[in-house]
Amino acid sequence: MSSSVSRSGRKSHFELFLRRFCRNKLAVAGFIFIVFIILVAIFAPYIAPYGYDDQNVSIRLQEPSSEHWFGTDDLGRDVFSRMIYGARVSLSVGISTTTISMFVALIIGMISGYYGGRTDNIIMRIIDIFLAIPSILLSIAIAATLGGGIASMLIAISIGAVPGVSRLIRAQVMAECHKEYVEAARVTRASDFRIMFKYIFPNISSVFIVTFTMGVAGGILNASMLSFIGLGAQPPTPEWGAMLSNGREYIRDYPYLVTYPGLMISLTVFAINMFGDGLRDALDPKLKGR
Amino acid sequence: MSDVILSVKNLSVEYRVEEGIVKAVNDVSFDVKYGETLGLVGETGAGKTTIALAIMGLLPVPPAIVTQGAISFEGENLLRKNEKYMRSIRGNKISMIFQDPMSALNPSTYVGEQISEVIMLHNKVSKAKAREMAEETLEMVGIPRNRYDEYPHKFSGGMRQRVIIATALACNPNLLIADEPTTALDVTIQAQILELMEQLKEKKGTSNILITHDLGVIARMCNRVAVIYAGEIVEIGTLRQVFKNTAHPYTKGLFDALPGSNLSGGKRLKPIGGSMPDPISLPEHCKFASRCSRRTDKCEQCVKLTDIGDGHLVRCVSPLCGGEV
Amino acid sequence: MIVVLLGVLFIVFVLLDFTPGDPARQILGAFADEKDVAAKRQELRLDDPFFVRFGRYVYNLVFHFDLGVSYRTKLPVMQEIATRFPITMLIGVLGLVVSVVIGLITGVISAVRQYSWLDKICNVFAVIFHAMPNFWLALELSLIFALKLKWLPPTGYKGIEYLILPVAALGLNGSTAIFRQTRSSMLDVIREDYIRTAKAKGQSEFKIIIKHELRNALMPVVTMVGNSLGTIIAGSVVVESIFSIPGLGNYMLQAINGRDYPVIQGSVFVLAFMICVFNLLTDIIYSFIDPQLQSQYQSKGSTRKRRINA
Repeated sequence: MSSSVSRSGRKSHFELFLRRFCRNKLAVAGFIFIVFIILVAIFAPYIAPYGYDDQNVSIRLQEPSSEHWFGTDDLGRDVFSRMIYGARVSLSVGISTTTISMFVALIIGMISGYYGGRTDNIIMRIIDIFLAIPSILLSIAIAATLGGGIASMLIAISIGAVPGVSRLIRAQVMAECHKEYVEAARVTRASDFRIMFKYIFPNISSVFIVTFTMGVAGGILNASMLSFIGLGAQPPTPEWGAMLSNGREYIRDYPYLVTYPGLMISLTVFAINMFGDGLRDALDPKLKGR
Repeated sequence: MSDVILSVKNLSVEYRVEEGIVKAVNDVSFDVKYGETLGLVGETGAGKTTIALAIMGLLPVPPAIVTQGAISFEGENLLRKNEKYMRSIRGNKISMIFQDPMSALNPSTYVGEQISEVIMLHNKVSKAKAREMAEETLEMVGIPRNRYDEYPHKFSGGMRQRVIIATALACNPNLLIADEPTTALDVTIQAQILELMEQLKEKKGTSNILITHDLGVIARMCNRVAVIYAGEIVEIGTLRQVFKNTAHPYTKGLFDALPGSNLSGGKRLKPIGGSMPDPISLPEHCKFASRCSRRTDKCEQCVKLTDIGDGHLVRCVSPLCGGEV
Repeated sequence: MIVVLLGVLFIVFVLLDFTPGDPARQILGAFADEKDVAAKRQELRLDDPFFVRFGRYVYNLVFHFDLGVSYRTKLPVMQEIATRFPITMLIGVLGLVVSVVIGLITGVISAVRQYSWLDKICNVFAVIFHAMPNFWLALELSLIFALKLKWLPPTGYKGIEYLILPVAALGLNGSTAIFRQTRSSMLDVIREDYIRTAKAKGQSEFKIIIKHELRNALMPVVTMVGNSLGTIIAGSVVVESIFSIPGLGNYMLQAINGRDYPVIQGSVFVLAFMICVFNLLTDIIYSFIDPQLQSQYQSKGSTRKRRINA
């Protein structure tokens, strides 16, 4: 007989979720990797054998060796250390842009989905206009306008992500609004604000969490692309995409300059995606059970 | 016995799932004669649909496994046949219609074409001839033939079910399995569909297995009845035997639970207390014992089907006969 | 759609307006005389109110196909874009075709044979290619196939074989989204009751896939394909640069590096325009496939496009 007799609602929901999540080995692996990267980012100064901008032209462009695990770049900097510090940049950009854009998108989506009618129409028209431009292009255009650098990259990526996520949240909110508990809440004269955040939001929270997770992955990818183009992190900041751009010239003879940073980006995004997928699968059946 | 079209013997089906092994069907045996309608009655989850899917060879085979038994149709054991053979049988010799007509039709194909499809699958005819035959079938179920070129979303639930019946009967099958065909329909439409099914049965002489939890439908449509509980047949006999000489306490409970039945005194409904046992951990002894008001120590043993006269079988150590309690 | 395009123009123009620096000075150069700069400003009427300038911009675009003048080359932006645009479109379309083919096939296989090793492999590949930044994929492909194996040319555009690597990079990257959507739609459809009906009729699995499952599963995929072109074209910006292909993306990139704003904004607009047109086409195709929309048109007798809500 199944052993999880429900004690208090919240506790056993979480246990169920945890059990389902842990069954998915890839998702767990992803989670472990993410924790690992976060720790690397936090403790970067203690882990990295060299500084990220320790130039030493005499040892430039060296193959990976025991002293420089990933070799050195064209200015003699240790690639391994740069990649460790790069984790800081990528993660912080990814998380901050996603936080900002999710917050904004949530508000837009809530208002649009809940109030419907003309408000929704107007807002969605505007969103559609923004959606006509692919988010990366939009980010590129905005970053170019703002002149490049990390700050403009942050703004550009955040703005780029908002339209798509708003639409998603709006769809979820609209679906919830048709359900009877919202009608019931309205009947009790709860304020709109209260309905939106105490009733509707908890029910879309799992979609929100999963979208957030995937958003971080997307943010990291976009940051790397912008930096690759030259609109993001400026030298000497060690961003993985920027490192790729740097190493591009030497790809013929020193491919490691390109391969390692790219691999790092891919692995991180992969891990976050696996984790996000696992989250979704573990949270979803719970939603269905309602 | 040459008057038997389908013979199910000792059929057992299990589902292997994460939580364990679900024993959906346990050692079920019954026969269906030519031209007769057998009703399978039971609560949701009793295993009726699983039996039907097993006959059709439509069980989802990774989780489901037929652990024992034989299904003999026109002399051949269907469980031993390959997919190609089964495909030639489905829709052709044995047809099945399902519960929810609203979602049973392909929304992106014309309704008439879905009937033509089954005709062309099993008959070597031209497209034009198939269309002609499909249109005839439409008329047979009371739908004007010019509605051939319309999409399902233009049809109401009752009409869709007619189309489904048309599809099922288009190739003149010898056996029709109907799984809760009227449960999803309004009461008035239910009556219409049942009447249609009766007419067609008379016209074509098809044998039927009618699965339902509605005793009223059974009373109207069936010659014989089998009562299923927790994957087993607990009572089987002719309509008269089961309805008038109800032998098993569960069957009795089903009748008593009907609103307006005389025995319940006309005021409060008399539900059967408790619920069906968990199919993952079924007891070896009588599976209804925990809910039975007549339970004694004798019920703790494994109970077999016994004949209490004229082919009326019951699985109980102390069956009720003649309506006594 | 007109509204959308106008809106895009508006955004582009706002961005153009926000850029730091004085356009007149950019054109004349950093060492130009103050008086010349002032005269230029007069000439370009740069001190007019915002909406007047916007109106002029739109007017120039619509009636004269004029998107301004490049700061760097002093040539009309439209002209430069026109020569490079076809190449980008070619790469974009080819990339889209590749991603659709790969995505559809793997998606169907994955859904129909769910949980099998085929499904797992397809999934793994999809996730791997999805996680890779497309520029890195392009670089690695270039490294392996052009530089190490020497099977294909690494840069330039002198023939169709020069396009193989860029198209491969874009196609592989784009296929993941289509794979995901196809698989998801197919899985939904497979679970549907009418598939069970089809099986009960005795239909073979292959025919069920084609006639029943794909027909119904394809609709959301078509929408997704429309969206994919946007991502692919955006991706071609970097990919063109990596393979030195003289397309619009590369041009835009050079403009970004050179802070040549009219070119940047003009390119963005042209790309957005093409994507809009493509989306419109997708919507039209969608209305032909979806039976419910079809009958709506039949009964209304009009051909007005209807918005499909998200």
